[in-house]
Amino acid sequence: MAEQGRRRIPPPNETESVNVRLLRSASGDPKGQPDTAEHLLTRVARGEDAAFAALYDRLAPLVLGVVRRVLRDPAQSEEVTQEVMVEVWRTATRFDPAKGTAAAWVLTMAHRRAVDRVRSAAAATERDFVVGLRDQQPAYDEVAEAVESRIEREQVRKALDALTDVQRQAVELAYYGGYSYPEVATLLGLPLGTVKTRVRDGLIRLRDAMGVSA
Amino acid sequence: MSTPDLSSSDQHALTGVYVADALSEPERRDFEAHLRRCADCAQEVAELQETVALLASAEYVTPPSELRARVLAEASRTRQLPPVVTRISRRQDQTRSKRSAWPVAIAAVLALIFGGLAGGLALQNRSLTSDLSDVQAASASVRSVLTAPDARTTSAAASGGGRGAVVSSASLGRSVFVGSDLPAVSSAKTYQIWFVTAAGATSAGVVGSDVAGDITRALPAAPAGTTAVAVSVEPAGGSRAPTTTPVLALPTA
Repeated sequence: MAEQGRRRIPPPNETESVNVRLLRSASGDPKGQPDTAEHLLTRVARGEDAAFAALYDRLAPLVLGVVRRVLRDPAQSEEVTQEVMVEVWRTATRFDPAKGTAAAWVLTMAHRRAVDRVRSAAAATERDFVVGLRDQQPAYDEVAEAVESRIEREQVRKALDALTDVQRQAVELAYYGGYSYPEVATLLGLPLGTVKTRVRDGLIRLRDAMGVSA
Repeated sequence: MSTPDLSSSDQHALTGVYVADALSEPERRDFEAHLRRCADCAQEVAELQETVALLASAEYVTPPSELRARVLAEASRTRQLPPVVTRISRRQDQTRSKRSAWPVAIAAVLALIFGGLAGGLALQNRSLTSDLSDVQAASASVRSVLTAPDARTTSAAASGGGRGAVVSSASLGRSVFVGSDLPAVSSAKTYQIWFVTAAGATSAGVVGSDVAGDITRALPAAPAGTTAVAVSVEPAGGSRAPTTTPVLALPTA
């Protein structure tokens, strides 16, 4: 799905980052390794335990990463990661490679579950406290743990630079903050329509900056 | 059918907040209904989901090793959804049309079984009377064998009526027994499936009493040197060795 002309994907090598491998599987690299996430997921759908373990190793760090950004609490984040990965196992037959990459399928599930957890009553009180701290935070985690993500963090940071400040802010609050768009509107003192537009325009700019096409 | 609160053009504006999971539950349901009718929005949503997946992929966090163990354990206890039926049907048709039924050397197989019995060779007893219904419940295992790229089918008519087949996958190391139109047996009896080796017959499990007609059973792993799968009618609960002439014998080697 990524247009190789618009986004330089380095040739495969041993230190190839997780994200580039995900892109490679998405871009349908003809030299692509047989163990693309899509291929693994197809085998998981047939009940193959080994393929599921390999898919876990590939994607659980990303699931945990995005869930942690939204939920903050490490213990809850691990719980949600477990729920997501087991759901991937349970519903693997529902993945349709024609509709998108395996990574997107899994991370969409992960983000939705994280947001659902955030909106549950238990998390509500802590969220109010954290709101004020979050406003000025950069969109990428400067304390990220793994070298593997350095390349894609750099690419994401550059892509986020393509957004206007207000678009970036709206995307951060809506996506990473796990807020509903009326909550975002309240936090930013904006009309609902403006929030919808800024989130959409911001994501479209990110899409174009990162060379995503379906 | 609920009337959407927003016109279609207003729905288009929701792609971003939908992808960010920033809609309320009712709004999300309405928007997903819209997506089913609007190819442009569906396309944009797919692209934006890939986009946020790239954002998310920059958030790599090494999970603790205990989490891996817990996830793999829970998955092993969790049933998977079956696949969409139409895909399965096409693959089964392709498998059957590509493979011709092998000629069944029933006489040779029967000689093996009865030769083994007559010679008094010790028979391996492995969960002889294990009820295969639990195995059958693992439908994902059945489907994985049926749809394996190297699935091979052997089929034949059963001597009492009906037909049976064994579908096996060398890559998966598993096989599935499929029976169609097998005559009913009395409640005092059951069909029993056997792996036939040079040493004799090892039980692959009982089908269960009051079970006949169309049967699908995932079989346990075959012992080394298995040359055929056979089916006989045994007393309910199964036997340690075939006590009657098999109604069906299918070479698998």
